[in-house]
Amino acid sequence: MGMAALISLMGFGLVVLGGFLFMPFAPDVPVLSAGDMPRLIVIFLGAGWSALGAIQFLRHGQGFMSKAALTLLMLLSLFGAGGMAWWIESGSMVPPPVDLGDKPVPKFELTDQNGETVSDVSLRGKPVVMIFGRGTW
Amino acid sequence: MKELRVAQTEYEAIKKQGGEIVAITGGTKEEVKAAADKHGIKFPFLADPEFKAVDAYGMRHEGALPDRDAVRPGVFFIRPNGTVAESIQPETFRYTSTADEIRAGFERLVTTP
Repeated sequence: MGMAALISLMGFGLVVLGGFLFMPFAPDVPVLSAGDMPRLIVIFLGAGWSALGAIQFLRHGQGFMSKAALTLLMLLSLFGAGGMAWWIESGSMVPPPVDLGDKPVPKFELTDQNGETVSDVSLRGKPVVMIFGRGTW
Repeated sequence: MKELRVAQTEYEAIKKQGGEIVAITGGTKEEVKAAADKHGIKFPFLADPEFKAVDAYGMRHEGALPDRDAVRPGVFFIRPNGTVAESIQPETFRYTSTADEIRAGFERLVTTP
């Protein structure tokens, strides 16, 4: 394995890492506009790096089979980056919005961070902003 | 958690106008306590490990994580009489409500009869 092949492989690794950073369980789900940029850069940097390694190998490498293998790796990286982008986009969709209508909100009774009980009834009489958060990570 | 840090920045102003913010998420009491401490969340942050309220509001995102469901993001603006005036329900979980949206929604909630 030459240096170029190594570079290609590292680039492929970057694509995979970039994809992982987009997953729902990665730390702090990002905002599409700001937080996604570094991750997108990692993915496409990986694909570019991989392609660069493959091109270097095509120029200096020896034998048809090794060239074919490197071309395959390059294509994998490029399609990998595209596939990741598609996967990320489609995997981010949530079910359609709910409509709670004009009835009072559903009943609930839960405990907060200080151990105090909060319910739909205890919130009556106040304008309330109720936020559903994805998780605690 | 970012949506809650954003909401925390609006909490004083909302509290002053007689309003309240509550957050609900899946996760245990311990996880919620740890997260509230870590991010400085002062408004009631409710643990709903069994997704009781989450399901009542239709906010479960089935199969969101490889091994479990998650809560889908959303904000409901609820009138003092307990009915929903409006809501923010993004199409993708990669969206975090902004301080402006929370402030504007709350303003409409208190000014619209």
